Amino acid sequence: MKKKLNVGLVGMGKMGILHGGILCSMDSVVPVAVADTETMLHSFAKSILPQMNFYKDYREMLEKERLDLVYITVPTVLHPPIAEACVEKGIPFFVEKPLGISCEQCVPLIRKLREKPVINMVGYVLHFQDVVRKARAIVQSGVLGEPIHLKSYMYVTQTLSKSGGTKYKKSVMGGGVLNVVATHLVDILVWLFGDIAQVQGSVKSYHSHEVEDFAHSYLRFRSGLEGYLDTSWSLRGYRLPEIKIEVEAEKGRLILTEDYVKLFLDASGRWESFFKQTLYEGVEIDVGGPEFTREDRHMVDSVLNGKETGLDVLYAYEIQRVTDAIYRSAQMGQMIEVKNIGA
Amino acid sequence: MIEIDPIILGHNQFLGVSHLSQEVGREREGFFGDLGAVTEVVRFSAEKGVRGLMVSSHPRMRAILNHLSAQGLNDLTLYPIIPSAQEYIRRLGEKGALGLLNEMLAPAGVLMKSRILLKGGLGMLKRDTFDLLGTLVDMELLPFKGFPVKVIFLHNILTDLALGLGNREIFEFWVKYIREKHHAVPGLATMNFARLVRSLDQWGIEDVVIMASFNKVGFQMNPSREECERCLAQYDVTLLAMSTLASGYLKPKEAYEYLFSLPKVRSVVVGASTKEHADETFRLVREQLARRAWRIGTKAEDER
Repeated sequence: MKKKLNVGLVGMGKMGILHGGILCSMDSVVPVAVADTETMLHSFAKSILPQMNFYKDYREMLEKERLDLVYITVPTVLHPPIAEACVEKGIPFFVEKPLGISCEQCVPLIRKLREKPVINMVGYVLHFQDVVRKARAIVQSGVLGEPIHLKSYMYVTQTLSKSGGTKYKKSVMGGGVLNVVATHLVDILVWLFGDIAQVQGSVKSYHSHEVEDFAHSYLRFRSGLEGYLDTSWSLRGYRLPEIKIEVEAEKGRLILTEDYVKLFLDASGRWESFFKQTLYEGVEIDVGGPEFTREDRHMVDSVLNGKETGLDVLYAYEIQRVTDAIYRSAQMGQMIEVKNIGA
Repeated sequence: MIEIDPIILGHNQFLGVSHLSQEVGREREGFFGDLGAVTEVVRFSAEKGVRGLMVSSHPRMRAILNHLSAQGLNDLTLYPIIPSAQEYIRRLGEKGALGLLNEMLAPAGVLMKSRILLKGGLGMLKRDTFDLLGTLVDMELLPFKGFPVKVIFLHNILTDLALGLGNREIFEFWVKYIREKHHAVPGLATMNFARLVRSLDQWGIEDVVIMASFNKVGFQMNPSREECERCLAQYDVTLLAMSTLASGYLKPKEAYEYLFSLPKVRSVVVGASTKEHADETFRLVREQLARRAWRIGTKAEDER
């Protein structure tokens, strides 16, 4: 008989509901418990999902349930301590992105993982999106030659008036649009082009009291590639998060958006387009986007097969370092070496 | 067999939504910012015999419907898809699940709200949950009052979430509530046609309209185009095909040739941004429908 994983979820917000829906549909998963501080939600959810156990405190859930995997989908500041609790219990975990509110906050988790490794994954879901995977395959193939210069942005219309509340607190989310939204962009840039060595950033708050609504940074990669990223959640006309990356390289040019990858090679002298429609690969169930299903399938299969996910806390920590470096650079008004940030 | 309009005019373009690209969506948002431009396309479609209109409870849709009504276009048949999922997701992200639940409860009536809140800490009954869902459905449908409504679709985000949870009771509730309370045909939008069809069959849930992606390149067809086609052929299904152009990737002619080569495809949602575009699309769909009717007629004659 095939092994089934007992899964517990911490947090019943947007991402918790999404992952819960996908996990419930998988034959190899038995969702057994949910922890959330809001008991009102327990009652609502329990009336629909009577087979699951509900806890107010995640520690109680970890103590009482026999879990093979825990999904952590709570506000950012709670990611590292809950992940640490999983490590202490020896339970594999998935934690949403970003890893934490700062590098400093993530260091104890990394130390614990070194002492007692467990399979883990951080929710950089764009690794599972068709167009991004295609772009990576092109870059890895070497057809572009040496990447020289890039420009990139990530915009979404989210905050157009004075914003308060938990979602806009630095102590809870670690920052504004850069740490909450554009961490995805930093992730893709690192995944495609390798480590970022130096940054020089600037941030601007307008609507939000504590965190930035706009961020911009010069980036210098270890490979010598240079360019910039620009991000905001306060621009009109971006109903959904929108990413665009344009790279000039030794032998051609590449443009990546959520809708397509376009490749120009000097040798052929023409553009080749790869649209999301033709790159599409069906999934076992689509609840909010096929990339989330692939992400959860990868996590579950990694635990079932006892394999590393390749998208773990150590990787996410490198993304956190870049984000922290941009904040530090903006504060100091000078170029920052990423290696000097964090442990 | 449930009879629905063969061609239903989609509404995404009027709301600045384009699944081809957000850039196109922004252009359309600007163009259809003028309600007169919306009316022109809708009126032209109605004159060409396309009187079915997809609608959502998006705030802008209310303004569009008020305008259409004022222009005498209040006898169109509406096909609402609820709830306005993007709006709920935005609010869920902003306020959290509890904040959203509280906000949703606000118009639920003092008695029901008190009952739910009182029971909140003690354990809500299943009946309370479905009472609340019923109230939310009623609220979502308010903007469409005064128009004939044929099918009411549950948004794919909720259909697919309930499908993922494997929760038969949510589907049973939806079908019964739409039929008995709103006297309309229950519909389910989905990105998981094959899984949904199999589940409904297993649960004995019948007489619903399923709106799902069907296109030549298999875009948004899960788990695969082949499996969706197989389920369409195998099960007793009323399908309203969407994403037939694969979000603008396919040319209409090749898209409809494929679509109407499939069995049981009788209705399609089409997007049209101009009168010319609408005219061409309606002509192509009708050509394919006529060809298929001829093919079926010839086959029946041969069999006799």
